[in-house]
Amino acid sequence: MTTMPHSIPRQTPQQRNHIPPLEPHMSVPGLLVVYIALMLLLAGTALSSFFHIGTWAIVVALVIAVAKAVLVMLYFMHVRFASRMTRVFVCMGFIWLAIMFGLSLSDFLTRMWAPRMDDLAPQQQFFPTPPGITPRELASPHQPINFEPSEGVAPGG
Amino acid sequence: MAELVAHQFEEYEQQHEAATLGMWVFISTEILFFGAMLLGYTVYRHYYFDSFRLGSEHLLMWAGTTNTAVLLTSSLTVALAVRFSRLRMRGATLVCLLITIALGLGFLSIKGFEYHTEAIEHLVPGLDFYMPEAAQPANVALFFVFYFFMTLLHAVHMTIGVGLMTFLTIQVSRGRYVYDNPDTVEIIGLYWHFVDLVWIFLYPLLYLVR
Repeated sequence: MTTMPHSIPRQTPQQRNHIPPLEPHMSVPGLLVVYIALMLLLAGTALSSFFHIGTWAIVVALVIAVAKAVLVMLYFMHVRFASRMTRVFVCMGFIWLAIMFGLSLSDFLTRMWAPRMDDLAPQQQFFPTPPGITPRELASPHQPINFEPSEGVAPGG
Repeated sequence: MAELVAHQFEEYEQQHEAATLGMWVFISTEILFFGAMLLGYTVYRHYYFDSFRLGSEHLLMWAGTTNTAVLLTSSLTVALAVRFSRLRMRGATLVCLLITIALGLGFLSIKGFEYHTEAIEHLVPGLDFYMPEAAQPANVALFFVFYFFMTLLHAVHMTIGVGLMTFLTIQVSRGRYVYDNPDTVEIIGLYWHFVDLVWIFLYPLLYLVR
């Protein structure tokens, strides 16, 4: 441990280490713009659930989710500024995911011989009835009954 | 203080690429890790759509939306922390890391509150699941099995991320990583962004089944 004369001014660790700052890939305004875009997309996703789009709701939601993911990956995770090899590896993860989904769903979505289970008669309840609730007859899907809870039952949903 | 470039690398760009590539390889395996559960969820959602919609309607949408906003904000603060660490601004890096940790803990708190609410409302399969208005209660229970497993797996990753950020905060407060090689800040930031990515996809799939 060398002693230093008092006439030498205090050095910051940065000066002592002599390592210059590196180039940051994104500026603060750039990051804020991406963040605002992400929040707008989130608002769009939340609002779209209130409109009755029907079967296209999942498509809209997933498209917005993909847009958010692309923004996060390109700008927050710096994929835009990464080397080509890194970008190949980034894509490969999703390509393997697409292979798994594609091959599996090509099986499950084409099983026309399996009936939609929701249309069948109600199945037996697998789970025991909580204490304090009187067991009742299970109704068919076309005749919903109003459930009157007995005392001591926490409201469901 | 360590050097900027470790002795086994020729220049900084090579070291930086090696670090980020290694983390992306790990993230690719994690994508498939979550992807397997997402595939199972997709298949059963196709078969039991009405039951899954009924189950999704019992989730707290305000909690899911707030959690998504919290995670997106934490991604911003992580990106800012990475930026400030490369610029050797230790104070700004610390502030951003601390905000990130706070947001991560906020996410876990909201998630815990959600779990508590669902446990009270008899929505936990295996505990005391009971849904009288369901035509197929077993299928709604299946939705909640997927919901709890996927969000629990995500919460575990979130906890690991908060732990890593805490480690990073302690080291940065001692001057490490900011005054020599800031790549560690960046690759831990990559992990945090990945956890946010997973939630970006979990949120519409679980909460917005309409």
